Amino acid sequence: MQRRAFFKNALAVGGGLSIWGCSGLTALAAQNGPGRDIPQAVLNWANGQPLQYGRIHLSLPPLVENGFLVSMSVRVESPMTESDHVEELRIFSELNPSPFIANFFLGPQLPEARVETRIRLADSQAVWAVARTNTGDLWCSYQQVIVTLAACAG
Amino acid sequence: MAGPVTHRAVLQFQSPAPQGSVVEVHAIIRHPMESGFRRTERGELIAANLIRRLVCRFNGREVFRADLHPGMGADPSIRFPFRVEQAGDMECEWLGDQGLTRTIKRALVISQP
Repeated sequence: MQRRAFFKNALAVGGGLSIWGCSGLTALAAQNGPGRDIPQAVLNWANGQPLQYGRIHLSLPPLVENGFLVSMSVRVESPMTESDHVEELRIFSELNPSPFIANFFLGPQLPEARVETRIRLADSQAVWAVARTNTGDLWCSYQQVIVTLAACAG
Repeated sequence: MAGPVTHRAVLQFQSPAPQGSVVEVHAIIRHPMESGFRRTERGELIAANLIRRLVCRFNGREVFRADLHPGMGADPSIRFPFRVEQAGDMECEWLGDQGLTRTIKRALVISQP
């Protein structure tokens, strides 16, 4: 893809945000907060339990040129002690052909609830992370990612 | 694909490492992670061929597990932190379609101060 076309697409998808301006990128990477429909796969897993926003820090590039390999880092704020730790951390996609990306099973033996991996994104969308603690609380967060060349094409 | 495919896998972490420190465990395996959603030029669906699970055990005790789905990128790479408390063996096992199993064991040694 031509550089020019790439920037043009990025601007079109981003709703005219300035890709040079820091404020634009911060707004784009905004997470934690209602105001976006929770994907059905997340609701199915929650199984009627309330989802709380926060505690999860998703780190994905806000703009990726190629959806085939997108690096992702997820961290959950948790003391990771025997009495208070994250048991399971699931990653969901809004628009991939399958909403499931990965389920990570953690425990108090880890010093920190953090995982880094590489995922596929079929389109510009939000990536969701949902953590279940040992006490049964569900925490969720999402991050919007703009993909200019989608995975799964062809 | 014709013939057996060998899936090169790597398990990396700092060793020797000081007691009480945190090391990054990096497990990666060469694998196409065929999602099952792609089609050939003739329109036929390509069957899914995925790594389904990664299990990491330290001295036989499970410390980390991941269930992987089609949304994972090819050559799945996973990093997680691990606190060094005692010396021992870290063992990572990948399980996948077409009977794939692959295990790597690496010793974690405590460095002397």
